[in-house]
Amino acid sequence: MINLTIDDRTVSVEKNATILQAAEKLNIKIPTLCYNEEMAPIGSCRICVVEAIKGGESLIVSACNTGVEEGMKVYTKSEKAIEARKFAVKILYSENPSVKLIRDLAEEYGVVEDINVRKSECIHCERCVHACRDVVGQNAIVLTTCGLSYGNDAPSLKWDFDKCIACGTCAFVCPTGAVKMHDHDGVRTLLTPESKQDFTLKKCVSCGSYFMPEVQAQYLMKKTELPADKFDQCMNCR
Amino acid sequence: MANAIFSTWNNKVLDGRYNGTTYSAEEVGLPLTYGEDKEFKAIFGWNGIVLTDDSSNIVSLAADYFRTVALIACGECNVGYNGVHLIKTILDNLVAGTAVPADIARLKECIEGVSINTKCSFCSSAVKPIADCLRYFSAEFEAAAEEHAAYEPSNGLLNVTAPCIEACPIHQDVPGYIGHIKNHNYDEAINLIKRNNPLPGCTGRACMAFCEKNCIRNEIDAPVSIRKLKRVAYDFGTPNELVVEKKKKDEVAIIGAGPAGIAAAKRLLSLGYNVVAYDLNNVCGGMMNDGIPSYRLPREIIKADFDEMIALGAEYRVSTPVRDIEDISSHYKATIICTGAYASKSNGIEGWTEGENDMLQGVRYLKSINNKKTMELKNSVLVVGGGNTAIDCARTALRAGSRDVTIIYRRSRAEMPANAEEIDEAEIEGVKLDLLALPVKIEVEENGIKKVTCQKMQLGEPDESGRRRPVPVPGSEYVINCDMILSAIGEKPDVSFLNNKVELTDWGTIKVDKNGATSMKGVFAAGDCVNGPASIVEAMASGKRAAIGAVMYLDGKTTVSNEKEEVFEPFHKEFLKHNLDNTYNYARERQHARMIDRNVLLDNFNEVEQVLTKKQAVQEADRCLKCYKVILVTRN
Amino acid sequence: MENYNVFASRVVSKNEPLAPGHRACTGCGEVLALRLCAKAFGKNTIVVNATGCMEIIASQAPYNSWRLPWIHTLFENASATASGIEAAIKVLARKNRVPESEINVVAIGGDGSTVDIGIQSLSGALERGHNFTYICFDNEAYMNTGIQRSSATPFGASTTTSPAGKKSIGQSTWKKDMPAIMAAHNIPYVATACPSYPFDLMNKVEKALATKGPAYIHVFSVCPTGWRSAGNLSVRYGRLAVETGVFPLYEIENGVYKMSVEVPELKPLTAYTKGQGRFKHLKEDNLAKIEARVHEEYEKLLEKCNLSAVEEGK
Repeated sequence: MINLTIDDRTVSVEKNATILQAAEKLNIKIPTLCYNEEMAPIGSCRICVVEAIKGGESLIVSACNTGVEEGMKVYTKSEKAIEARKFAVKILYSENPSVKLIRDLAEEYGVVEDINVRKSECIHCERCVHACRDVVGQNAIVLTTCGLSYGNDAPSLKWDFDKCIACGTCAFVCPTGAVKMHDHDGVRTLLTPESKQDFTLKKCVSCGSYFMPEVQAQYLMKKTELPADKFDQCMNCR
Repeated sequence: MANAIFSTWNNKVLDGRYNGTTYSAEEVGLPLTYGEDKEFKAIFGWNGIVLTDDSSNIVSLAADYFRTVALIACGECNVGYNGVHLIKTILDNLVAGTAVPADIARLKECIEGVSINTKCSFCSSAVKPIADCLRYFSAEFEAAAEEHAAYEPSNGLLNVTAPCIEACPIHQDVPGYIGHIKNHNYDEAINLIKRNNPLPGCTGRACMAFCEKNCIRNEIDAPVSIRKLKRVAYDFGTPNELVVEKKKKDEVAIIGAGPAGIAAAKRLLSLGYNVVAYDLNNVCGGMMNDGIPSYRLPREIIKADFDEMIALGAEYRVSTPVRDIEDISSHYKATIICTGAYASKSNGIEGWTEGENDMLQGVRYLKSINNKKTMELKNSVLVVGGGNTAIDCARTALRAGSRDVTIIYRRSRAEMPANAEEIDEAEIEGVKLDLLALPVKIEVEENGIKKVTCQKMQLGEPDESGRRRPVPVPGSEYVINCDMILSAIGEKPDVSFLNNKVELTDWGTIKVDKNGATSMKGVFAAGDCVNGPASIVEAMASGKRAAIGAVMYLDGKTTVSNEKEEVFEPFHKEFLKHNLDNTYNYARERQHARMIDRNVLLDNFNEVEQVLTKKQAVQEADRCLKCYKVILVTRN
Repeated sequence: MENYNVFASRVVSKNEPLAPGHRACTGCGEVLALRLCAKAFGKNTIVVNATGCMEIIASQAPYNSWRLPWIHTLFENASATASGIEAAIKVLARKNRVPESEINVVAIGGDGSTVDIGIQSLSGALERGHNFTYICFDNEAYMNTGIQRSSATPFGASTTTSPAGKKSIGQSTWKKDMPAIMAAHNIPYVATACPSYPFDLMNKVEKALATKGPAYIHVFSVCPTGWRSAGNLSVRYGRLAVETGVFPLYEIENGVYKMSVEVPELKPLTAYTKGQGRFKHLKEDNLAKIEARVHEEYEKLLEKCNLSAVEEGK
């Protein structure tokens, strides 16, 4: 067990716990955006930053993916932490003010101005990437980053539609609604920041209602090794 | 002697701009000259700014430096990417004359925000010199914001490196291809690796990985598994086809088809020369083929890497030993000797009979087994030595059927030159380690058993290599009985074919100048035959350098063609340093590759280490901290 | 949330504030809904529980299934107790003893304790504007005490106090439109939900908790014991209730109506009533009459939604 203090309150946690988990134990709320407890921490939004002091050295770290250390002193609302968080909020607010959480944080931190950041519906939080990789297991979404040898101007999200099973997890976890999905007329349409893809829906042989994308049925068939006729009927008729 | 008038390098502020004080390179902590006393005018890098005179336009320097920083900003975190691009836009506006005074406050705000809150430490540390600019050159920046005139670019020389890139003898862009793997772009990753690595398959399996030894994560948890990731790129990626144009008519000969030879061949081919390579073995690969067993490096991988050279137009004449150097050098405009170091050093043990009574040099043993010649099964084998060759001999002996294999080494485990992973693997497979011990006498019994008298050692004072010298413990003799003894205490080059026509060093290696030229005109040398037994990657770096030397010779030039290398060579130590100060990093477990089951009888040479799964690869790639360092220098 | 079936059950929190080991019947649709709601409550929630099925099954002394602060009230006064707790939190917050904005107060009760005996205290709490959420788990009768009718029992359903027989059709009155009554109090958020649409339900609970002021959710709870339906079909019956128009899923946010799950073509009522013992006695003409009424109510609701959509568009 590791002992540390958060906002001058002591807490004892397991060896591999993160600062965010330790704060939760103390009921101390640290704002998060890209964090989802079902996936590995991403650390891209930079909102959950706190000031961590160890051995006299003070650092700003993201609480979601930084491990606890014995004797660490964490401050979630110190001047330095607020300053760091405020800048991250400023950037996000300029990029995409549509997210309620960002608007609330902007209000809380007194951010009003637009600082001329490139506007984007997708804020590159990578939740969809991690959800598809860690939760669904299909690894169909990739954030292609920039770099010296990359030749991209800006990071972009790419969907591999050979792997996508149209489950909707990416749309579900997206905080800005940059990934959208809707069903209509026997087709499920996935709208990503870079592409648009239609998936045919299966029709129930008994009642005729559309209930599942074909690719999802194939995926389940392969995974469960059940015969194809098990997936011919909708959930009501089965 | 050059002196600085201003420095903020490594947070040591020395400001002599207004009082005429100057500072030496020692005080600054950074070299101020390169090559033969050529001076730098300004150094603008990740760790600060150094100026030797007041003629530099600091705003231009900042903008030129930062443009490269913005190219590297990956986009994985919100503050890093957006913050850096905001700063770049403002700096570009300042040099173009289109900035406004309010931009300076915004610049300051962005620098403060980025320097403390990024996902990895690249962007946060890259803005440091710009912060220095605003603090110490605020007048110049404010002036730039008010004037509407454009500034001249700095015309400096840029270098992008990292501790891992710098530690690698061939300077592979390690964070670059790791980033591609993280993005599932295996094709891009393998293309990037192949840009300056002609042995992507072999190094992915059997590289010394100096990069890993210098990885910053050694100070946090464990180094990133760079070699295993290279293998991921090789196994999963499809590279573009390399194309070279034949521009020249000249042919260059290469003696030796090992790593040094292939690197030299590739450089020559890419510059348009024709290459003819000679090797005494019947397959290419050199020591990789002879010395590294196939359970570590499958033969097909070696063949694939060399087939590429053949596809590019190199002619390989195998089974063609060279009896005398002039047989070759007289027929070619230039010759590069890459014959390696495959002869064993003699061990000086009393009673050693090489080649008789089952006492064999380790490399000879390996060569036979690796080339599929059967050897009589010996049950108990003693291997003398502590390097990779000794480990290879021991694990090979196990697979050949020996049940009782012991490695005897005169120092402790920590001092064994072999890869730590290899030593672990040997122990898992059942090899015994007899450490701090040395065989002193061998007696052959009538039934063929070797009675080996050994002595316990203890570590005394360090010798010239820096390692503690082993001294015998008096009265600690004991006896080991065994069927076979393999000696693997080090290799040396076989230079008999030179017939004393080429100058050698005191250690018996070929003497060369900094361009790889030997004492014989038109003859160059590279690899283990020059440096002594080293590694695949060092041999490749050496081969490439010799090829460049040969090309310069053929073109009639005498000056160094690689200007960048000369300019940045003084910063080598600085590039290797770790800057861990900016981030707390969550210790994350290193991914372990699946190994074949060692609980069953090991009677085959199937590859032991399997490739990381794609999911493991992404998780391992995620551990890379992208420690890129950008530096811009201007000269008089 | 868009109308689609998400295959993403694993992104839901693994937190279970309602611990397993409670005494609900096999196939109980109500406790399924309650468990999903509990997941959406988060850590800082006080649960105020009126007497009823959910209270009984989760608190057989000396055990209690709740991993949250929980209080059992009388049958009729969950809302009054919740009001008191909410006021106390306000006082503590004013004295800086607790952060007010972070503690949720949720009152839960069955249809009996909400639509019948509890309507008075609920109406009062809504009128006073307390910052709390009320969730009604509607299994359409007083199930805990042995399947007696309530004012939420649907027309034609057979219960012990509205038995079907030669002279009786079962329940002879139509179901009280509780969401409309709640909306008439002009509270900021009213919604209907069903555990057969789990993500929709959890989303609505989160929304209700985040609303400043009173919020009300009416949850459709299939009761195989009381309805005499197969225990393994509870989720299906919930879905069929939505797809036949019997229990449409919608929200009323500050007076604006919004459909949550769109059903372009309503299924025939018999798809829903078939297999439920409580409707077994109904003849074709009764069913036709009920279906006509269901469709009529549905049309009215659609009109309200369209009107809202048009107004929003302006």
